Amino acid sequence: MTMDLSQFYQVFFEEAAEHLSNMEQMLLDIDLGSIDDEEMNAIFRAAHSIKGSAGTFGFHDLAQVTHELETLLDRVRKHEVVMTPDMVNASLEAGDLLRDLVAAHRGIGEADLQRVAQVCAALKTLYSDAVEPADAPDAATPPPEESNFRFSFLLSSDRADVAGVIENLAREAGALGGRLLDLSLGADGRWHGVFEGRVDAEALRELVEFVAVSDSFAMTVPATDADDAYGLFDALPESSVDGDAAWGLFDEAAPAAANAVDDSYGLFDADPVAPTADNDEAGDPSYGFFDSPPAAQAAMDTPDAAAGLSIVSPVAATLAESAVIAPVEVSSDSPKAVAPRSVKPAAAAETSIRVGVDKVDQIINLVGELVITQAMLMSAASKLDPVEFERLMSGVQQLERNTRDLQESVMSIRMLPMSTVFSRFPRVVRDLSQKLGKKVRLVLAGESTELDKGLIERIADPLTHLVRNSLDHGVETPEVRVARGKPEEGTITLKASHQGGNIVIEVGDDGAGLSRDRILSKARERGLAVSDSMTDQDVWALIFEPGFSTADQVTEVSGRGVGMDVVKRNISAMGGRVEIDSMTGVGTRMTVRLPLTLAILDGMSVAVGDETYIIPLNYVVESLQPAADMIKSIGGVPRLVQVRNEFLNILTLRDAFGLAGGTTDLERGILVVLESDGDKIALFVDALVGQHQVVIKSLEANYRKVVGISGATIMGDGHVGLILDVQALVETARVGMAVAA
Amino acid sequence: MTQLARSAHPKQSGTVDGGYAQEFLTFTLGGEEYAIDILKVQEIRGYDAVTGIAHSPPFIKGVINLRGIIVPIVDLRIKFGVGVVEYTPFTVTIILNVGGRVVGIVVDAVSDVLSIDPAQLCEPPEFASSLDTRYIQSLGSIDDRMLIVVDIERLMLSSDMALVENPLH
Repeated sequence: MTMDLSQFYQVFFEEAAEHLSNMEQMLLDIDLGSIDDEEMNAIFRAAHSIKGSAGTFGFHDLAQVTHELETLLDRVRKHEVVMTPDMVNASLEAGDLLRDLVAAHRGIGEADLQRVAQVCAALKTLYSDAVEPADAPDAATPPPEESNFRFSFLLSSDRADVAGVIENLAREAGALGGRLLDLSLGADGRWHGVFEGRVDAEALRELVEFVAVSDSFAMTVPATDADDAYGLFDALPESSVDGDAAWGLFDEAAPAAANAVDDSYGLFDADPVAPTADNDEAGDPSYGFFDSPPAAQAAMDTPDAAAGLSIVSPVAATLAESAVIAPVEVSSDSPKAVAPRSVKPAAAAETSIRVGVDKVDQIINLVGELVITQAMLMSAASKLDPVEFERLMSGVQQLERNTRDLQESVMSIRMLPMSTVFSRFPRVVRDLSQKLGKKVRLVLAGESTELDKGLIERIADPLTHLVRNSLDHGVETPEVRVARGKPEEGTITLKASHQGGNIVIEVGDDGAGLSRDRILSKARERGLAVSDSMTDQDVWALIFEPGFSTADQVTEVSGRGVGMDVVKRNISAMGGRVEIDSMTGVGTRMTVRLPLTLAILDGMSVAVGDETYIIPLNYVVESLQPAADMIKSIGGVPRLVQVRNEFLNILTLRDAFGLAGGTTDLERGILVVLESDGDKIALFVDALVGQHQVVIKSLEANYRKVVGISGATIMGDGHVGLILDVQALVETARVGMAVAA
Repeated sequence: MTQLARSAHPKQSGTVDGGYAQEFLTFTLGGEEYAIDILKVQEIRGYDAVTGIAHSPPFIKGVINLRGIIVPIVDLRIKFGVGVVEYTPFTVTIILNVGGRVVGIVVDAVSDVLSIDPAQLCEPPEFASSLDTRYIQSLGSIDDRMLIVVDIERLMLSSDMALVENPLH
């Protein structure tokens, strides 16, 4: 049967990307000193899921790499090998490779087959050479011994040929190196049997699950192992007398023991309230997961429900063993960590929907239309007699409220938490600090602050650059830090917060700080106009000049002076700005301010003749009606206005845009003081019209870029209003030529 | 604001290059009659007040709000230098959909939808005019009238119109 799988590729790519970033996150969080089993399992599951779907879709390179990765993780998970920093690095590298491979399958970039081979080989070496765990030699799994496994399962109901299936099973078991004994159908509808031979539990489980109802497989420890387990578990014979309830479970007598273990290890769930939740959890292939007796029993009572899998494998038994031996060591943080983590994924899956961005954008556009329509109704209604049309008026007012609420909630759909960007930085900092031989701690704050998706995507690169910069230039090497009396480990802080209509992202470090003298001398070297009397702010701003770098030597990381100017340009393009605060020896803080969204802006509308233009409010400093003595002329042409102690360039919008209407008499119009990149100009217009929130429309979709105009919007009366590009206007005024030129 | 017609109905089975008749929308500019491929026409509406754009050529009147989309409006009478440029309640804007863009053209009047047989069309001779012959697809003769068939997509996306950032030609 052939089926077109390509329609599912997109879903696979997205899921793979999610799994990869989860995996990376978890790998970075791992504390090699005390590895949490649940965490290890989660990492393994992520790799396993990718492998599974990659195989299904025929992405063999992906499957190959994940297979090796999975093998390594599996051995760590089963405590057969001890996780080393090398393994974390190799796993992270494999993650990177997988990401590139996924990208290659999406048609971005090329798959590097040589790298695939390299990474696979590296992983292989790691898991085959890996040393036996040193701290718990008893816990290492010996090669499976000749032993009898008891197991039971429910045969899939769609298997008609029962005899054939059982025969097959026996043959396959033979291939595994053992024999199936006493396979028979019990009174409870389950098949019971004994497997004799050398095999690990997992292989047997996989074999049986092929024919069994999913998750109905249960297995008990070989009798000998159970005996070894310090009498925590009842021996099997009694269990079998108890009937089905005891298959693969701790006997009723266990609670006391389970409690004892619970205190020490946290994998045993003895909470009496838990049973209902446990059924679900156990349904998840709970590798090495111990169920509490009541929960498991409930599961067995309803064998049809796809729940209640519990494996007490030799590995698990030895686990329990080591837990009993050293109860204090492991008890520190695992008990509280386990339960919430295993519940979380299920909850998240139910409460979110994957929707295409285009659909969301369409809704946003429609709501934008609605807002405009509402504004049109509002202005039409305002001409009516409020007494006579009272009901209409109140309806219109209610409509206004509702549309505003609707707009806000629709806009929030596009909002993503900053954590989507921040999550990449632990990795960046880790890799880079290793490369530079620095010790750096990354502190993240305000990760839940939300920002428009479009901005999130575009802010990632500039932020990465700032962080790399802080790491390379800011934080000193451990020796220097110690010599300066600072803690050996430097700190880089990433903080996001809301301030008014802006989002503020800070990248701070407690490093050396910027050197005023060095920047000034470098600036002179490059022939920039600087003076010693410049304010700190102005001096710091120099590092955003193209090609400016004070790094003593060019490193792989930075120092070429390419970048800070790009950072600034990118952030400006998003309607944001960057500020620097720095103190020598104490640290540097870069503050990025961004508008919350690209789709809507607060604007001030101004009139020139018959035309109305919108000025983005965040550029407006003040507006004033100039008195005659404020206007100073140079060469007979009134060019400057004195606002308090500053002389500002006057830009007449009428002339800049070559408009026919409008006044030229400076005293009859209004000057709007605009600030962009620290430069101020006074824009001369006829009048201020009002202040509104406008929905930004692209002028370039059907037309082209117009100098001095950043976009368009639709005014309350249905007409198009043009939004001024303040940066371009300020630039124009400074360079001193008309936009037209 | 009156929307006169909504066309772009592809019921015609003829292909552009095949031997089948093709449907054209004809309109007048001054005394001349022009025809454009009807499949490029999105809708026809009256002339609305436009918002002027600084430093644009005179034939680009400005932009209008077409149900939330910002659409530039070109006055073909100015571009071709024919007819009297005045805006009356009868002045018509044809909204075109060319190359994924929505553009409006102002004409004196829309006359007809004609189904023209390829046999009725002939190659235009070389000549110099305000309308470059590159954009004239062919000339048609219908009942002693001459029809100028314009390759409207090519024209609208050309550098001559200054409508697009990266023109085709």
